[in-house]
Amino acid sequence: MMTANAFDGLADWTDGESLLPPPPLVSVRGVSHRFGPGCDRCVELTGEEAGTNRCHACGSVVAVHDASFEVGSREVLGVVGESGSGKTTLLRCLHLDLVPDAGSMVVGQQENMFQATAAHRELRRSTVVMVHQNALAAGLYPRLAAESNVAERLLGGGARAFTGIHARATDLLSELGLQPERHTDALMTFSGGMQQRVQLARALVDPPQLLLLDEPTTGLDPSVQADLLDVVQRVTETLGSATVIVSHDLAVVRILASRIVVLHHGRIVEQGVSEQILEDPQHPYTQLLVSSRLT
Amino acid sequence: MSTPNQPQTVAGLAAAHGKPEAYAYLDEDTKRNVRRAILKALAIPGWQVPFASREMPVARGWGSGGLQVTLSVVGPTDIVKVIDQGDDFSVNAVGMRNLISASAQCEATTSTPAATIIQSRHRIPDTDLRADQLLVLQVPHPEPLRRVVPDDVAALACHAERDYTPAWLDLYDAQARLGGPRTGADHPVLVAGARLMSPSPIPRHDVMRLNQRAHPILLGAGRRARLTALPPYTSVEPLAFDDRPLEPERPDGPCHRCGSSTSYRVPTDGAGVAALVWCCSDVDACGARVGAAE
Amino acid sequence: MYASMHENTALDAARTLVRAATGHQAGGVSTLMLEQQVCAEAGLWETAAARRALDQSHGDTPHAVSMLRVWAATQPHVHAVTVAPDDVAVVRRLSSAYPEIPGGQWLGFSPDLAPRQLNWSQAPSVEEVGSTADATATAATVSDAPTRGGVPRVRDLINGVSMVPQPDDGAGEDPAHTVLVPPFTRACRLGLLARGETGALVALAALILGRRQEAVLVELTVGVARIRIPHPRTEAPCAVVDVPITEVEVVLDADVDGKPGLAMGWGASMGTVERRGISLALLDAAMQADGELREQLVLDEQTIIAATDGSATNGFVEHLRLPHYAGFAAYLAQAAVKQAR
Repeated sequence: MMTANAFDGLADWTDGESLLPPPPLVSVRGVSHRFGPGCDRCVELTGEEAGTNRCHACGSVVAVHDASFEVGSREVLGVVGESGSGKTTLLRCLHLDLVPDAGSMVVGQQENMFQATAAHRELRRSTVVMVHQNALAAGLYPRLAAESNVAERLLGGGARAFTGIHARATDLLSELGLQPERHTDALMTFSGGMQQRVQLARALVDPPQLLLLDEPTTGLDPSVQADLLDVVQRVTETLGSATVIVSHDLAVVRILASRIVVLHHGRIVEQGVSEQILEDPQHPYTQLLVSSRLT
Repeated sequence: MSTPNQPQTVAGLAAAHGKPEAYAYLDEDTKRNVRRAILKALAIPGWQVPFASREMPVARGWGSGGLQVTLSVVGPTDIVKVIDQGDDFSVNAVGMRNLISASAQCEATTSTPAATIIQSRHRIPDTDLRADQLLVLQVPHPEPLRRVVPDDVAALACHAERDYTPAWLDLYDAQARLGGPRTGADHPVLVAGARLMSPSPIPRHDVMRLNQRAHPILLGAGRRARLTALPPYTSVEPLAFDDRPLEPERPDGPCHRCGSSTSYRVPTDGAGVAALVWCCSDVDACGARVGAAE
Repeated sequence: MYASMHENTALDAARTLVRAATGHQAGGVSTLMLEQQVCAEAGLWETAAARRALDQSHGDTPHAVSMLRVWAATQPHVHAVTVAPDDVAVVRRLSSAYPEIPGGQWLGFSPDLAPRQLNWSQAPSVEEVGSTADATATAATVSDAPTRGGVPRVRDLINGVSMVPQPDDGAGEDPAHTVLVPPFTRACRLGLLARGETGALVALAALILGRRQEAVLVELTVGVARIRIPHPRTEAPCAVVDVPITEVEVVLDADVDGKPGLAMGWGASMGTVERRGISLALLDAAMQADGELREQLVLDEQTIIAATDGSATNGFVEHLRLPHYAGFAAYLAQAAVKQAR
């Protein structure tokens, strides 16, 4: 059960009194990115019909082309595709690690997210936060205490009162299942599943508007995966954030995502409500994915 | 301050070559380089300004930086005091004092009120300095982020962006796990609320006395070739959370020589006494109190 | 060809000619400290042999060290009795941890005072102004020099802070005779390192100093140790030689049970090259301090350049001899506060 004080400061983007449905929190339009010199035939030579994302005329790789989607507050969007489908590039664009060649992103009141290069570091800290496959990939500090890793974003944002930071970090860790006596243990003394929870706590200690999850359960035991997914589900239902989860594992996406986007050779080939996509896939590639997953 | 003119001809150069040492040991180019670095450092309080640190007859790590600063600003009317952890009579302090006064032809003293330039290793004199006095500190590690950031390049990025999250994180971790910062001496300070600086390994007792001083403070690191400066009346606050201020050391006894319980004291062996006793680290100030009592 | 069995002026002249031809200096150059370094690195105390080895290797120090080791291996070995503290006469003793120590600080002839300015006005001579090495040669004959056993240890003054427990895993073996296989006991490790190359020891010790928050020289003792061997017939320990040794103890900051504490390191080297003793003690302390959470040593550009800067590393390691009372007291104060919690 979530306590009110663990998730303070969410009132800004929870539903107002308007009768109209609110605009989607996150709106991504026309994201395209290419690695390599590029030529004017790149787009036609890659994609579904070509069966590749590599342009044989100039050798460049069209990693993502014209990706558009929306994510609402409290909604989870699943992005599925195999390796080479462009999901990593798309994720890096959303996380502002990479400025795409074309496209725009709006998150809440913040427009032109891709163009604001000077503030990207600050935006990554406050508005768009990613949970990586493991804590080390995320750049967490293995030698520091679990609660210190959680407090880092608050400290980076200018919080200077120890009592308040400490209370929020420890409350959150307790909510996510870490025993209070272990809060000051070094991060590296925790199991993989617990480290992921610390990572999640770090992302949520100052709830972002867009939460990105990059294969968060890969490498964990099935029971640990299930626990973590349970936690993520509770979190996404309560917070006002928009969440995008990228995974190759359809089972994970099925549990968490309400809508799914399927990527193949850098293009979005199918988009829709997850039940529909998973029960009744239309596109041949989606059908292949759904039929080949282990049940 | 007298300076010899730079020779303009080859014959002049040859004539100058015969002299074993320039005024105040350093040649004019070095002095100019150091003075420019000092001016830049005073203009950007707390910023580490690189300077071309020369080989000095004092080993690296023994105060060559502080010595170069002193030699660059000293003049024949100055009166120089050199202390080493508060002691005028430590071997190294004596050696440097002799070098400075001999090569700059100026007077030397052990009395804090009488000095115009005070060069100190790891202590600030207990006696408050006046506006006309200059304090030069010797710094072994000028980079305050050295233990929390992997290398100098990353540290420079932090300073440039004024993003000291690694230092705050280290402070938070120590507070959460130990109940307080790990630093004994050399606790980092925020200068003018913005720049993080290492105040040199002075004890916390001295770190808390750096704020709004009436005189300039110059910090020289010779081995690392960096100079930092604090102009008079600069705001210097130790890095601390708003609700966890820095605590000074609390010796549990007065000085066994002068009886002070407010000076910075260190434990020492009291002859004939079983346990350790406390004595003032600032030898001159302690002696003055003893003299005044008599 | 003229040959002679007796010394005469012709032979002298011939010798001078040969020396000049092979680049030797006619006048003596004092190699007192270099001989001691060569002896320490070779693990053999015989300065005359060291001088000869330096001469025959034309001053190439590693070459001289290996010549000395090779020669030592050909000599008969006798096991010596462990040196008792009462057999060590103290010539110089100082502590950077406290201003006054029981037994007093004896600076002796301080190598720090030796000027660093090259003096061109006098010719190089064998008679140097004086060094600790000379002092040690005469100390053995001075009967009122205190013994190591008679002077209390400065490390006993440290209290109020937890120390990393010292490993006690037995006496060591002589690396010159036994093949030592890792993992080493502490005594074996110290024995192996005691013959280490000075530059390498100092570079590693300087790297450690750069990463640490607190490093304090607790005690540095330069003394003359009287080595005894059992008499072949009566088994009574008989003094055979007096060897100068430097013994150093340092403390480094270390986590003990999650709280700030100290790790005490010990190092000893033959001869009076003090930086060897200080570096050995620092390395010993570092191996105890890091424990399981071993800090990775990253070999990047900055680290390598910093480690190979000889004047910086040597100066920094030797600067531990300067007073550190104020900083040490500050560290002890904050450790005591956390201990009390």
